[in-house]
Amino acid sequence: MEEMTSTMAEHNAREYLTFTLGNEEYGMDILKVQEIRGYDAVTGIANAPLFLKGVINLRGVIVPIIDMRIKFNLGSVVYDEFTVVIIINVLGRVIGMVVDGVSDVVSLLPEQIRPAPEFGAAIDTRYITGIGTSNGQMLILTDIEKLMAAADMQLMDSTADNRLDLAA
Amino acid sequence: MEQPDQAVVMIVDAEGEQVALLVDELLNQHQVVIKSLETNYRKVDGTAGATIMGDGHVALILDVGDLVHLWRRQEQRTDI
Repeated sequence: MEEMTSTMAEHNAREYLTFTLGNEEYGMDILKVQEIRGYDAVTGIANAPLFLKGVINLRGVIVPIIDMRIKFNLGSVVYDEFTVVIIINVLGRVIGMVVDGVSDVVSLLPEQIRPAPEFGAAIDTRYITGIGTSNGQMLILTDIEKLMAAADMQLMDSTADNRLDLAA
Repeated sequence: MEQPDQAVVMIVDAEGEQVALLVDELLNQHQVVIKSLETNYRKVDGTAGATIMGDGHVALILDVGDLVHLWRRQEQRTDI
């Protein structure tokens, strides 16, 4: 009765890309990940917030790069051959986010996910959809699209931001 | 600005008047394809988009008319 057939598991499980920021592990919807690459050749933009490192050329497309370590005041901000940029598709855009590291893709069933506590994580709990556990590992599951749409990310102009709030 | 007396002065026409811009160096003249910054980011004041240079890096395209407007607005605010 408690057994799950593999097809049931396929339908209920969702896959998350896990990444590290500071001391914590986060998970984001794998379907929003376009690619993962290194950090190089970023063109700075005047008067942009500190966490907006600039833009890159991604095969002919201009993509903004946001350093999550700077935005959330986490980890040590270094740019070397190990620096990872996750290219994501959210809000109808292509955006790059710099994180400390990327790990596996983890499959989680609903019963492996618990509601997030009101405190504790560096990222505002408004953007946390739950805490997932897999192999003894705790993952902070993040609504990356909602996070990028937030006003303090300064990616959206105010009218667009209001539309997203109404839709939520 | 580090050494204003070491800068190159570039005189351009912006919407019918002449403006002098202080820059570090004049490099080259190119014909470029304008790529949108707004598609994935947003409109950046003073720019008209970006372009991809021969070596693959991104260069911003300045909109001198926009820069003049920004400067004028700032001047007006400080005069109050």
